[in-house]
Amino acid sequence: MRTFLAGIFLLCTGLSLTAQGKLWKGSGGNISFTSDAPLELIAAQSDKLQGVIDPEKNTFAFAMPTASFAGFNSPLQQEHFHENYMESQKYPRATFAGNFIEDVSELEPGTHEIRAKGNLQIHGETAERIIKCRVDIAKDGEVKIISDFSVPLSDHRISIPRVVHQKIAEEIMVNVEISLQPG
Amino acid sequence: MRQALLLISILTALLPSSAQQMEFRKVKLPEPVRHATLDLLYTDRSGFLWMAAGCRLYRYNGLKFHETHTDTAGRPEDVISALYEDSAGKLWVGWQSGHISHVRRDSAFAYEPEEGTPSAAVVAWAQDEQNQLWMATYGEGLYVLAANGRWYQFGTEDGLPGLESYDLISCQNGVLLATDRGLVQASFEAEEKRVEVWDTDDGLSDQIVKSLFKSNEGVWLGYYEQQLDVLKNGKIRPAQQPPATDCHLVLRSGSNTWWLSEGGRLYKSRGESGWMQVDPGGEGRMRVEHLAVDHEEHLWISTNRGLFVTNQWQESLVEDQKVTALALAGDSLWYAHDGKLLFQDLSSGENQQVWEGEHVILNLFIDHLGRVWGGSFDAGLFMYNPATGASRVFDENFGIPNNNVLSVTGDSAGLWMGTLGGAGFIPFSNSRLGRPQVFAGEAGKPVQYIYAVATGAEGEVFLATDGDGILRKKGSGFEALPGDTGAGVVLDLTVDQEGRLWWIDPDGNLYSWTQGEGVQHLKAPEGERGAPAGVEAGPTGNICVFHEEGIHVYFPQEQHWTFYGSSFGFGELQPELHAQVLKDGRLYLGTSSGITSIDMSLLPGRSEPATFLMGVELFFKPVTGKRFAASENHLSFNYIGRWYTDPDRVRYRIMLEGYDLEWNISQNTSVTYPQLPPGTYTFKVVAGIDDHFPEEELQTWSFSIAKPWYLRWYSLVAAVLLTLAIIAIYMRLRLQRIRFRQEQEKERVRAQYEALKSQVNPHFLFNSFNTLMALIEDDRKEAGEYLEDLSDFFRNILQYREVDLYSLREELQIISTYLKLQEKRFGANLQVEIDVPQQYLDTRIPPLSLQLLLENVFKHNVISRSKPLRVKIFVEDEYLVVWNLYQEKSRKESSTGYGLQSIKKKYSFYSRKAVNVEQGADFFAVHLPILKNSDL
Repeated sequence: MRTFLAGIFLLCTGLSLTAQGKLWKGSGGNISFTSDAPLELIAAQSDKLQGVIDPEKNTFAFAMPTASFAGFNSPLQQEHFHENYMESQKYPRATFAGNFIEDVSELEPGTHEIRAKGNLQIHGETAERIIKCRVDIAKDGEVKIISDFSVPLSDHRISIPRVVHQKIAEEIMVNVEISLQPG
Repeated sequence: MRQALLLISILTALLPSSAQQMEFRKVKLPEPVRHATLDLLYTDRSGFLWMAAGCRLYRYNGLKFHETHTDTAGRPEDVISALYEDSAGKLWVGWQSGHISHVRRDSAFAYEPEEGTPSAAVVAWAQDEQNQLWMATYGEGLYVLAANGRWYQFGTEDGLPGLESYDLISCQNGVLLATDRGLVQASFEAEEKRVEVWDTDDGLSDQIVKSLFKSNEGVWLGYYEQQLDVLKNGKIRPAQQPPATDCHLVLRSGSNTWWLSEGGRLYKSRGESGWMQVDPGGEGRMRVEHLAVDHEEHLWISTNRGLFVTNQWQESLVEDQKVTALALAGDSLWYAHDGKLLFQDLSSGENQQVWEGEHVILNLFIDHLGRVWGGSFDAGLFMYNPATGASRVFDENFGIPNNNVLSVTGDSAGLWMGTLGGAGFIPFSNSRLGRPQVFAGEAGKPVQYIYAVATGAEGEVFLATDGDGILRKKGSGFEALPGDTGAGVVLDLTVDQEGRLWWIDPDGNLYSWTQGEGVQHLKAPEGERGAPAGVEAGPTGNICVFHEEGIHVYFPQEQHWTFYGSSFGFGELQPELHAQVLKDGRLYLGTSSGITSIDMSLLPGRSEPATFLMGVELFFKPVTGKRFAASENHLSFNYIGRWYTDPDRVRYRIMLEGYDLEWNISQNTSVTYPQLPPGTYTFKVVAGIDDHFPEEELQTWSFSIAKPWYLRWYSLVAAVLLTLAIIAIYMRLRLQRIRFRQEQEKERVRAQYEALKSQVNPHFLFNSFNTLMALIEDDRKEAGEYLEDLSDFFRNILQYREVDLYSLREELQIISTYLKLQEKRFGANLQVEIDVPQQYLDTRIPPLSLQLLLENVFKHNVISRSKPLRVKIFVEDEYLVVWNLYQEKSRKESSTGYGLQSIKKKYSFYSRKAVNVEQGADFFAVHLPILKNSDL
């Protein structure tokens, strides 16, 4: 866990990690979510997703600043999102780090389905998750990761006032897409 | 009209699906778990349920939650994550923190092996065939407690693919461990760790194995994704397609498989018919945490909305409709509601209406071509062909005996029907129908009512009649079965797999018949069951008789009846006449409120509580021994009749043999006997219901209370001896005193006699008279005085002879008179000095003791002018001494020696000091002890 956090730190500060061997890394990945509640559809996205994979150790780390979510229906919605639910000031970062169930080091170019098991930290609360993702490996070595998963709000201590109960879904659907280059 | 009836046969009216509703009961939880979620349920080897909520652990007996004190001091946030009872009966508790404890006498004690405890959550326990205890953790791999008492860890260096494990189960050689990266088989023998890993290359459907469950088929593997697999003899075969991902917990009971998905949803699968979601609370949004099956086959479901329990054997397939008839073909359950013919696809639970007639359908039968035949009340027989959708009605015009068709059955040869106008047979030839044949009884006799028809092997046909018992087909006609067939009214009949015919009368009594054994009459035991509605033979040979208030099952091998009534949820069964089908161990019952399906294999064979003596307490503290001291006489017994089916009905029959004279019936789960007398006792308890207490469940506990020391034999012997000794001593003392008194009296009498004798001693008188005569001549006056003194002296003697003791003063007065008399005789030759100090004058003395001594002195000594006699009376060292010069007479006076003897004896009565006699060369002295008043 600590090494993954260190990885994120290094990644964010832009330092080279070549000393640790061959890594796949990328930034500017796209992450979007939708909350499909009976009365209101909330959707937003961010292109500040960063990630690093160590194929030899079969480990990974992803991070994104929650404040970078944009594209809400209204500025009021955005304000509520950041101030009431995500508390982006207090918990500026969402992370997911762990290791893959399947072995990623020997993947051939093509499309694969693999599962990432790790700790998902949102709103300062950590939940262990197994998240399924599609990995496309191009001939030139570029790795593209696409995943859809849901985040139950109860896992991350995000409580919804009963008044807006019908406006926010209990599970938020998240869509992730990021390209990583062997470095 | 009939044409109109035919036209009504229209199908497809999709009814709302209300398929397979389970009966769930919410269990009332006590404080403080009332609003908590039970994280863990566990059934121990005795069948008791253990439940954990956070750090709290409870044992549940169906009525009460008994809390076990857990050692969470300093770690109040810790959570119990695994429970396991080992083969020695020790309950192990694993915690989220990696802490381990075990339960002993209602308390959990920390378990701290030398090797230390893990720092990762304990997720599961198992015991292998060598009784080694294994422990799986989430983060530190696998541990085993070897026979040498040490823990060994299995890590990645030992071949484990990962350290995070989900489940653990024992297998042929060691244990199976479910991990993220395959299934691990681990064993430990002679300190050698062996690990074998199975992954997708070895046939696993998924890398992530989440749950393991053992059954006769093998070990079931529940995956994160993919189907369930079964592992047996090293081979993996696919078993079932699950409805969702993350197979968190697989549980199986009877022919049902249950499992739990990560979303907290509960699914069940019955046979091959697929999975269905089950919602215990009926309100949705419920998160299922854990499941357990108890020894009575109830399923316990802990959810975030409370604890639920269900009997798994019963589910309702159709509700709120009176179902008058049903028949089963494959997965298609055909049933009738009033005049409507419907069917339910058992695999999907969908209901469909296919036909509607005008009159109540009384029975259904599906022939070998899949055609549905139904008998109706007053509208004859109808046939519906599901393959073509065609339907047809047959009535008396076609040739059937009567339009009231109560029973339809048949085989490939044709269709048999029982009607109010006799029996009928429609032969099948290929797919065409032949002309009906009618059997309406012998010529000249009234037409028989046929209530039911049954066909057996080799073309046997039996008819249930109203009054003539059973008619059996013989040749082209029927003949009555010989033997006692009760009142002759047969309500229903059935033929079992061995060809034996069974039938019931309207009172619920059962009869059987075979060619070899003839008719047997099996009277049903007394009991409130309501009217019977039908009889069916089960797959294991059990015969089920359906009553309004339950199912009465006869077990032919044990010759035993068991009634499954309200305790089993059948109190308001209300089955419809003849509307029962038994297939593959599952019973489908048409009732006045729908269709109930019962898995007969899950019905507990025994409907009795199991009795457990939970503990014995001495003054409310647990005891270990069985022998008690006399003061340890306050004993309490705690017992439980475990019967989750209906714990409120459990009663206890208890007796303390040696104290109670008869059995007591109680509802309490404990009894206290205060102040038991010493003795040998046996406590006996057995739990039961409805006044039936199974002897084989009797629990006994013998003990003894010792007698107190004062009641033991040696104490009694000592007490008797002591009493005898006291009596003996008393008797002896009394005897002594009596003798003493006698002696004293004798002595006194003798003393008086001697005194009198001495005083009238002739010498004394002679001397006195000579002296008197001489005085008369010389001095008459003096003679008178002398005579006065003499008479004084005698008067004194007379006066005191009756007295035991008097004062020395009185004695001195008497001897002064006596000495006066003697002085007259001896003159100056006698010199008597008396020197007794004043303080001794009041001491006591036996009367005339001094006088006697003086008389002795005068008698034995020479008194003359040449040899005057000196006598002294004085007190020395608390002795009164009479001293005289010793001047022995040459001629000895005869002496009895009595005088001195008598004095000695008298003094021995009154004083411990003896009378001393001192004889010197020239003196003689007698020392008399001074008798003080205070000494007497």
